[in-house]
Amino acid sequence: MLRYMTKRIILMLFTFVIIIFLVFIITKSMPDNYVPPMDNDDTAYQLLRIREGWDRPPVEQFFLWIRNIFMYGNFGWSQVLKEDVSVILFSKIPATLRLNIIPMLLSIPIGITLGIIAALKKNKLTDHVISTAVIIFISVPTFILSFLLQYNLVFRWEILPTPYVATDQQWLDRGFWFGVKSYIIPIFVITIGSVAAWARSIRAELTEQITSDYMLLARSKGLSHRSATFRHALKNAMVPFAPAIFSEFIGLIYGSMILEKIFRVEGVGGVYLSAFNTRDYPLLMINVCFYTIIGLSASILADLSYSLLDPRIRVGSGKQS
Amino acid sequence: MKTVDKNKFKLIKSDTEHGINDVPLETKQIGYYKDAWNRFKKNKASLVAAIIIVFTLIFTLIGPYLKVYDLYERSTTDAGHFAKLTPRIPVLEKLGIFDGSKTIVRDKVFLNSLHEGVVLEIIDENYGSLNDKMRVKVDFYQYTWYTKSMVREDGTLMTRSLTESQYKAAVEANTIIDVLDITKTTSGNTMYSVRVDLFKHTLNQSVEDTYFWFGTTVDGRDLFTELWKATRISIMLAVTITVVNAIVGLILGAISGYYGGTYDLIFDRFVEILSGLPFLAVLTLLILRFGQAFGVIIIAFTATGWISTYGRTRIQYYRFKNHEYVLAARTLGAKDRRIMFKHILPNAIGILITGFALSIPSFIFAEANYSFLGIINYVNATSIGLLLSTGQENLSNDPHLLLFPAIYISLLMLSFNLFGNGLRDAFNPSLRGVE
Repeated sequence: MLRYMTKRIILMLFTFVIIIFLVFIITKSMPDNYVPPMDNDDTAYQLLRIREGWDRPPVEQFFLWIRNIFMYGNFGWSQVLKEDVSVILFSKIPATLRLNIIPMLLSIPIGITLGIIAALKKNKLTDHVISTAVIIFISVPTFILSFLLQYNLVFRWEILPTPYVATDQQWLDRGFWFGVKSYIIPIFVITIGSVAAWARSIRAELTEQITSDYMLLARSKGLSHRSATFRHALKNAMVPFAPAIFSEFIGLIYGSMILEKIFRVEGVGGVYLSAFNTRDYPLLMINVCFYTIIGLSASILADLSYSLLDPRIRVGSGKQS
Repeated sequence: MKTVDKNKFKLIKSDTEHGINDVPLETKQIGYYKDAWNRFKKNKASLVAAIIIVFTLIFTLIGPYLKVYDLYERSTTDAGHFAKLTPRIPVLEKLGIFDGSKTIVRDKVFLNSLHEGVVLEIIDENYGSLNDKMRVKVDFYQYTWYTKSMVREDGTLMTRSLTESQYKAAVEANTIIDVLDITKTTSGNTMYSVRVDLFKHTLNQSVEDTYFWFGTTVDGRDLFTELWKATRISIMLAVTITVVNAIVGLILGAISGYYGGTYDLIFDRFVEILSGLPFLAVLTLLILRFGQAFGVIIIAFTATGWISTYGRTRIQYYRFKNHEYVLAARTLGAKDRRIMFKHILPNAIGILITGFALSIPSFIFAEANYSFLGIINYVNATSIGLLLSTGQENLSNDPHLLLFPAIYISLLMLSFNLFGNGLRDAFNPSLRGVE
């Protein structure tokens, strides 16, 4: 087990370094990615030029960049925002977390419960209702749902005071309840989207387990359908979901760019967009690193927990077939 | 085989008791696709979804030509007069929906000066902090006619200066309401200061006959035409990208899965690195480097897009390559290429087709997302995301700008998902009922 884990992690690091290297070289060879020379007396400019090697070849700059990360904890200097990019990025993480953590805590239990109910009552009315709702909420993009709620609740019926999430200033000025109310729509929208996704996959997995042979055995030795499902099928059906829960925890910091834009959340997604719009390459670079490392660690965590929960599965190890 | 006439075959029965006692088949043969189609037909939701998709495809081809409206291309200022008109649909307007009405808040004095038939309903007689405003429901077409051809919203007269020739043309078309002033300029030309009937003058039809089915956009384009133009771009790109991804993924996956071994090992590492690359990074870097041309978007979506097809194909080839029928074909001397595409592919095609059917909506969704965010922003073309994004900015006053693109994309996503599910169940009977 330990050997397998170390192997996976080393492979992941290898992939990560290659990706980052490629992206770095591509970013550096953009025609408009250069720092205009400032006044020669500008000590800060000179210091940064030497530290980041702005006048050296891209490959050399890459190694300088790596060195800076380990020596100074410095991910690059944003010329646009005049700040270290890691400070900019990490300062935005709390806002994204704040938006995503409640939906996640709500959606997993609700989604799993609905999925189990639908699977148990397969092809009955309850199942049809749940499945129809699920397919609708999976298909209709979350932003459409957000617009619908924003228009009706805020502009038409005027139940909620604002279509956007409250800023720090508004929390202070307009009070606690204003802030709480401003989070109702986004939390609802995110929750319902992920409830649908969970319910759908749980139902699919569980119905597959219910039809397998060991269930027949369980039934024939006298267990009721319900208790056979809970004692045997559910445990097996949960194998793919434990990893998914882990990776969702990691994905929390990912957030959703589009919902952050709709609800004007000053989160991680906004940093990426502003980096794109202002062509702030160092900021773009750290964002890419961030997304890559999240994506890779989510997938590795999923693989590892698969192997932990079901020893028969060893993703990516040895020969198959 | 196909060239042999079927009549030359004869069913042989032996007379002995233990001999062959076959009877000729009387039912019709049902092939793989026919079987899949039969199962697909039974799934009513998927069938309806398929019909909606076919309709959408037809409309993407003919939609932009259904209504020719090129005022914006001819004159942006003229088109600007028609900005944000509300939807008005011929039959539905009698039922009270999409009748071109709009709720507005304006000055009391101004609203009272409007002619009969403009204000449909007074919702709030005293509005605003000074109680000098009213909230009313107006026939927005009539209202626009009045404010853009008689009196502006600030109370001044809506006059235009016409040259001699323009004036004559206007008299000819009978679009002039009244002439206020005639002046001679220093260069000797006569200028006419007139008020003209906006709808007759620029659209050549009366206000009662003007129908913008989905309303107009913020700069006065017809939303119906714009929506279909945007759809056309997104569907054309979706099909192109899916086809490219399918071909690349299929060929590479087949080779990798069929031959396996060292080649597969090395190539799979390469794919692993490629799939670790965040798609967003690929898209943004390509756009920043090469601009917003359609080709760039296609390259961005195909650069890593083929990997899922590749993965699915590879697994299918791994699964089937050691089956007996492949061995039989090989024993009969079939070449590798023939085994790969003539024998194994038809067995794997069901899963692959379903994958393609689901990749079209996922592209449409992604394109809408990224164009909403402003990452994809075509140079001279509109997109669903752009329509949605301007719709969101005007959500409080002009919900129709958002309504139609939103309905469109929701319906299309729903249809494609249902269609994909139906297709999957049809091609894979053991999965039936599992979602």
